[in-house]
Amino acid sequence: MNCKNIKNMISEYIDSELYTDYREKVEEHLSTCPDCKKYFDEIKGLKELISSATFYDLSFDKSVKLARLVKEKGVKTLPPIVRPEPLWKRWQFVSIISVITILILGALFIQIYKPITFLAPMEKAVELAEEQIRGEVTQEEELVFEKVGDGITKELTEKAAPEEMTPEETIESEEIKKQGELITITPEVPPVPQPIIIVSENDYMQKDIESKLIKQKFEEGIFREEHFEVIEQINLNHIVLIKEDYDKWLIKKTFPEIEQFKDFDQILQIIEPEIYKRLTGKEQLPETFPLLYFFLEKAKFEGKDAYIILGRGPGKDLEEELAKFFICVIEIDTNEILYLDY
Amino acid sequence: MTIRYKEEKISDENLLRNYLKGDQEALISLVKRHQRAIYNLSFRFMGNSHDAWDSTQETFIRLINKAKSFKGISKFSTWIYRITCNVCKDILKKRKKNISQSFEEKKLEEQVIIKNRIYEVNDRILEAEEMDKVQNLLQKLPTKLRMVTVLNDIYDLKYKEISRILNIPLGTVKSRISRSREILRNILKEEREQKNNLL
Repeated sequence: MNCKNIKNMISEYIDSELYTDYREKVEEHLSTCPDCKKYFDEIKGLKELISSATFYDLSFDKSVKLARLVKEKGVKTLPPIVRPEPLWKRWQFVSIISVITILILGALFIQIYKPITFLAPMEKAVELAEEQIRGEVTQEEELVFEKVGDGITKELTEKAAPEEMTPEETIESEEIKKQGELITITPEVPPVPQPIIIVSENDYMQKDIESKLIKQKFEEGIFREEHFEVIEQINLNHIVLIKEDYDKWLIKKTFPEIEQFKDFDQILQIIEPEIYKRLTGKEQLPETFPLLYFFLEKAKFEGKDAYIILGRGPGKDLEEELAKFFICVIEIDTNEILYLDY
Repeated sequence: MTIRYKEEKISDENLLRNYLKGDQEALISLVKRHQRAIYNLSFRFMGNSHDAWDSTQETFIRLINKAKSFKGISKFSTWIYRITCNVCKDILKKRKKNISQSFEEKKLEEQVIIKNRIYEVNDRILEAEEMDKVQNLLQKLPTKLRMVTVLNDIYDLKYKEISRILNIPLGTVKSRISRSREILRNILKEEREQKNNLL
């Protein structure tokens, strides 16, 4: 390497941004070339001078002004706090309910001589639809039918032919009856951080991959402690719910946009069965692979171009899906797993 | 019941989350935690306390307005530094535009600035300090080079983080840092030669 090349690398060398190989070359050159050594000393002195700059702070007055400004602006931006309603409003609500109850009871009293059957809205709707098909619905009942109807009832109205119901329609009607009995509860999904995807110039060695990716992850700014903590805290059921979004985000949406990862989805198709086998020790493969990736880095691993994936998947001793964290390194040229640990 | 954030244990990201849930104190803690860094950063970019104060206020206003859009992909500090850099760039851009304004208007504006400065006694002390050697050197650099130098040498940030803050490629960060150092080295060299000639 000539002096020009070395001088170009001096700044990176001083800032500890140079790879080990180049660092050694620079050090070797500096020990033999007085010109470059002089240049190095000057740049190093310059860095020390700038680093010694005093840290300016806000005066007390401005600090107070800033707090006031932030408080004022911050309140405006936030959604209004919901306060409990005053007592009189709540009593007003109770009185309205009582009036409605009295009216309903009155209506029931008027209809006392008519036989009344209590049905769930869905059953009532189905029964009315069937009656309408048979031509037994009175004008009054038809009105009720319209009122009872939600989306599904409307569907019934459309399907209700004036003459006769075909066998297929009867089955559909039965199915709707069954659906009406189901109760669907959607669990609340906590906010989940988006997966991290980066391209880096890191060169990981097998011996230090764990320490670099896991132990020192918090210091480098990329592998954020919080990101991991949140993922760790997420309930397994929630992971199943977010898995689809994660996959969409990682494979369908992101890869065509990021040039460096355009072939990654193909590589995953080849490599996923292998990851699953190694994680579970099972030879029999499921239809879909319960694997969730939340960190993907394109970097070097022992000098080879590789994808480094951090994710959650099933374990050998745990039957639950996505129960364990794993690190996987895949060589880009050969699609081979270079390293897998969990 | 409000939670008090006297300790630094709670992360910036969680403070922001708490603020979005309606906790005002979380926002105040966040501001207190970062106001010094933001003010100093603004000062180093802008070169005077008046502009640094404007930039600090604007940075926190933007932070409040954009709080909901913080997704947590980058670190909170990266995000807030990015806002500060953008605010400073905007102020400098505006100033460039204002060069074309009439001489009279400019004179009036300068008078207002001077008036403000007179009342800010504490800042006048800082103004004196401001004329330190480092700031003098930084002021001789073009804005783009000044920003990378401040982030790298004063804030001790890695090239990768600087590239994220300024939204420029890593290679550009490297080249800007070495260009900036080359310029500063030449300035110092000239100064030294001038001193030697005088002696």
